[in-house]
Amino acid sequence: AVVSTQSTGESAPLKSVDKNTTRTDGRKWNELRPLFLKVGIITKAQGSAYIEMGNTKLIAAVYGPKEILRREEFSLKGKVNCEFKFMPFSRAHYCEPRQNFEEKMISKCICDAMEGVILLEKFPKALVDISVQVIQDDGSALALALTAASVALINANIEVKDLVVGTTLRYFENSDVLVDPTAEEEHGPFSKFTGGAGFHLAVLPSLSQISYLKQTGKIEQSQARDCIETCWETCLRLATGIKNLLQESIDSDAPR
Amino acid sequence: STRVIAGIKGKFAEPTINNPNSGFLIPNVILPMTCNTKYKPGFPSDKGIAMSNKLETLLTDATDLMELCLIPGKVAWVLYLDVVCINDDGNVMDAAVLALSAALNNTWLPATKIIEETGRVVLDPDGGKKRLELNFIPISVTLSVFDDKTLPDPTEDEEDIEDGTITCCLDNENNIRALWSSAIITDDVISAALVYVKKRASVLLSVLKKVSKPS
Repeated sequence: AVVSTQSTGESAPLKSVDKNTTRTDGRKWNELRPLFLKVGIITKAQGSAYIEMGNTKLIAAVYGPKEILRREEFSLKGKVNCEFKFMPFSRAHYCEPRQNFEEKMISKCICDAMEGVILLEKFPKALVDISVQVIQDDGSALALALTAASVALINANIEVKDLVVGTTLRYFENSDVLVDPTAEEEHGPFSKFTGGAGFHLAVLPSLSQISYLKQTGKIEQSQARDCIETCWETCLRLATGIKNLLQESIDSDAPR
Repeated sequence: STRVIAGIKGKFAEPTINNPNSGFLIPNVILPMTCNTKYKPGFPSDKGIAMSNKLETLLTDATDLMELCLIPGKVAWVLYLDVVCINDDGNVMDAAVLALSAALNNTWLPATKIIEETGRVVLDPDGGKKRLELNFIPISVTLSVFDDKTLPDPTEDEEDIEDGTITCCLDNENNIRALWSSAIITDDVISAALVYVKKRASVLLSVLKKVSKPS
């Protein structure tokens, strides 16, 4: 099952942005790349999701809930373990097979975000393993990883409070804003794309809550609030599409 | 439903002292936690290392390593051949070899030029691309052994209860490039297996040729 969202922007709180700028791939400043999503493609996993946003492709697998082998780790709440990895050929430079610092940090981010949404009390003494592998990184990998992990959890029939939808936003010193940046726009080597700030936001759409927020760089407070609102609105746009898709796959009883 | 992805990344490196005119081919099979719950998080898994080793022996003469050398003794191409399994339902070896062969067959090395002043090698954006020349295309066929019967292309359940494995690698001219057997078997079993292997290898080779791009 496929979801394609190519919606253009609606009212934007960032009035200083030149809404007519076109990006290298022809998008407007707040236009998302087309999304492709497929669940259940890893037959060995309890739940899995393959997600593509433009040229960023990644796959998330969920194993669990399963027994924690070490007895001293007894706890009344379940545990979540997450492993995030860029495949060696996914980025412009070669990624070592061993997890580096950045990947460990992103693993922890996904873990924290998922711990917030999973109903851990439902499976005490058990462990949920989430594994996210990035096949190709063309920007916005962290946000997509959060989305994919949450869709995989739902596909695994693990009870969660809500879907998690993530978005990235890039803010530049000349007040240019780009939603869903490509790799070039996110950390491009050209002076046009450096400086400013980056936002990664993950939202629980039905509960209207923020699941994960990360900001890097330098930005004024008022602009920061506007950026977060734009991210939020983008996440909600994505969420409707993803929910329809999940509903379809459950209705059609898609083979796992 | 076993699925693997193969990718090839090139980097520059200094050749070894023993082989100053050679580039490097470094195969690596990654079996992450994603593909099966029997693999623990945190690389590497023993099975992956064993497979990488097998691939290394298989690809020893696959391409002319001298061609990969840019400045003898100083700079050469090192090609990281990575195969990542995303779903392990048995027989990852065949899938890995096929994916890697297809990737190698479609590898285009960018042109390079040497900067006179510093003697460094950089990519030449106007130089076009050169196809990686392969001496042969390896194809692997694996069979599970149960007593004296063989079962081709085992699934994970079959691998769990098998007595052993026969893996045979042919090339595109039907020469045997590698043969591994981990079962106690007789001559006849191997001969019969080789007959099947030849048939299967030609099927796999035709699939590979279909996906190869001419330019």
